Amino acid sequence: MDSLTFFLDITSRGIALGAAYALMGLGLTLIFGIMRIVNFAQGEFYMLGTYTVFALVMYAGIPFYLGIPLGMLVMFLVGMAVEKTLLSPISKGKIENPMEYSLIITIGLSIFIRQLVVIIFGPNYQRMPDFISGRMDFGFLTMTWSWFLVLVVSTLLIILVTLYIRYSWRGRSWRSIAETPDGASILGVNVKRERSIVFGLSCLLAAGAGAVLAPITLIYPTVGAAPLIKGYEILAIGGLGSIPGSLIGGIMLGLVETYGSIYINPAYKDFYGFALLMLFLIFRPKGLFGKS
Amino acid sequence: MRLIITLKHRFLALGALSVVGILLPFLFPKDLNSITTMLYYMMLALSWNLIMGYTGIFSFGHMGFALVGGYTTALLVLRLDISPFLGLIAGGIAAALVSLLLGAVCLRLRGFYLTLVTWAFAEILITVLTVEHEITGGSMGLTVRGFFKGTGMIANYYIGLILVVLLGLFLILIMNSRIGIYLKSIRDDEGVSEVLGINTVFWKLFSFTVTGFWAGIAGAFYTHHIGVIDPSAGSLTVLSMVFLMVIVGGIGTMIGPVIGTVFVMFLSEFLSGKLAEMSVLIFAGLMIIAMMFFRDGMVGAFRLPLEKLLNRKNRDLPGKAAS
Repeated sequence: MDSLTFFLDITSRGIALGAAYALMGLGLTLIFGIMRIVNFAQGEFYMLGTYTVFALVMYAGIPFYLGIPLGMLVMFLVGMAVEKTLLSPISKGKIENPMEYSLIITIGLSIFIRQLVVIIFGPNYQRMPDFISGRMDFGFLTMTWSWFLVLVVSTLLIILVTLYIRYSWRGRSWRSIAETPDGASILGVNVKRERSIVFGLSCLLAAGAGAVLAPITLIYPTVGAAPLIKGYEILAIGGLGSIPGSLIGGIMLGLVETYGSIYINPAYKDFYGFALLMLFLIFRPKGLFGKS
Repeated sequence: MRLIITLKHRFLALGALSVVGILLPFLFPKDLNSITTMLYYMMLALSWNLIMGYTGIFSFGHMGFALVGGYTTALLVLRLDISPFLGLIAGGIAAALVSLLLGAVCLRLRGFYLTLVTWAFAEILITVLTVEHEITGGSMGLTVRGFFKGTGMIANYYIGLILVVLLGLFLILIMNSRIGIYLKSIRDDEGVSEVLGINTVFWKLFSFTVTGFWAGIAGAFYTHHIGVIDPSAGSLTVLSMVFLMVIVGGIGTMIGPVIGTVFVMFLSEFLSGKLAEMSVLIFAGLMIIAMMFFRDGMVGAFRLPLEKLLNRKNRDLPGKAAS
């Protein structure tokens, strides 16, 4: 394989990876921008996405094209339940510092969920066989079906969410909550309910990323640690609260990580993301498109 | 009537706890390792309380500074064969320098941005320590000798106790001075503090550096106590334990981190063995419940009944402040 084809190959993989990471970043951006909180358990929802699709496909025999959406739906409901139980004091206005509160609560939640999975499923790796095996070949572009699926599903979700936020009534209500929750409330938006829905959506996206990457990353209780960090890196690179930022940030991160691993040093794979994170936060805290 | 704690009270408490600390190895002779580990966590909890509870900065870099301290002393003692006591101090100074550098670059960030940077710092440090295994021993880490040859654990315990008492004394004096007022003011409202003429940049940096120093001391101490340092000592798991201890005890109080550490360590000992798997669940649940219902920790939970008790005593004397 000549070096140009190789380059295109890994570039397409980097973009696919970036798109999946962007799902994490998108979810985090939404809850940061609209709810002004952080979710440290986002990685655990990613992990639950991998386990859910594993259980649905391997044990319930559901085909992957139904299993993945079903898994995402389940995680959406779980996310909403979490918001209603743990994060409701924020909606009720009892918390002075929602950031700190949500951070600590979700740290506890992430440990709890992770340990629960260890107890129930055991700490060992599970393999998820490829949803579709083999490579696809469009002539100039070739990648495995698994990676192609990652690219397609991630991009589809991102486009759907972006369009929804831009053009639907609910999407507009979210944007108004992001600007001024009280103002939105006066205009008739049920802020409490929308917060739950946004949180659920964020968890749905994380689970989607996990589900679609499951054949590639393997399935184990701590698989969510890296995506969590990547999600926050994207948040910082793209700009907290900016959707196009998280997309571009995601792709940037995916490419930097892939190129760095192949051309420089694979042991430092995670380092590139951290370095980008720090550089952006120090020199351009608003990120590429951030609103602060 | 509010419970007013004076400097005298704090010194008395410190004295009392020191005495308890001196007696502890005789009460629990079989658990010497555990109580020494408890001292390690107490150092971490007390110092994290300084940056979080008193200055209002949610630092994720704490264990990173502990790693700096631990590796500094390990490398110096292994390569240059200096005394572990010197290594301890060197570890603290190295951690202080690193936190000074980090703070100088990042402390102008506010809120969650700052937390993210401290997190990134810790993760970068762990990655570098793991990858550069020729220098750092990689994920296996470095093995190093203890403080004294052959006297065993008890010497380590008392060294740890001295360090904890020193740290406690340091915190009491600092928080009782104008520095304490500045830090608490910064925690409560940074913008207003600046308007009031407090040099928030300087004092945040001061707090950050001092916290880093003590984290480094803690890390160096623990390294010589257990004889090994590796990157996992800086993991989020350990950090979460520190968070838990401070939050459960009472964030932003002097004694909170102490009782929080004792509580969590005792609970962890109690739950070890068959219930070990559940212990993690219980700790996580504890963190959530504490944050939801007991945000002021155990100190806060006891404060109200204590004040009510004292008020009942002073009911006939409305002018007398609750002592």
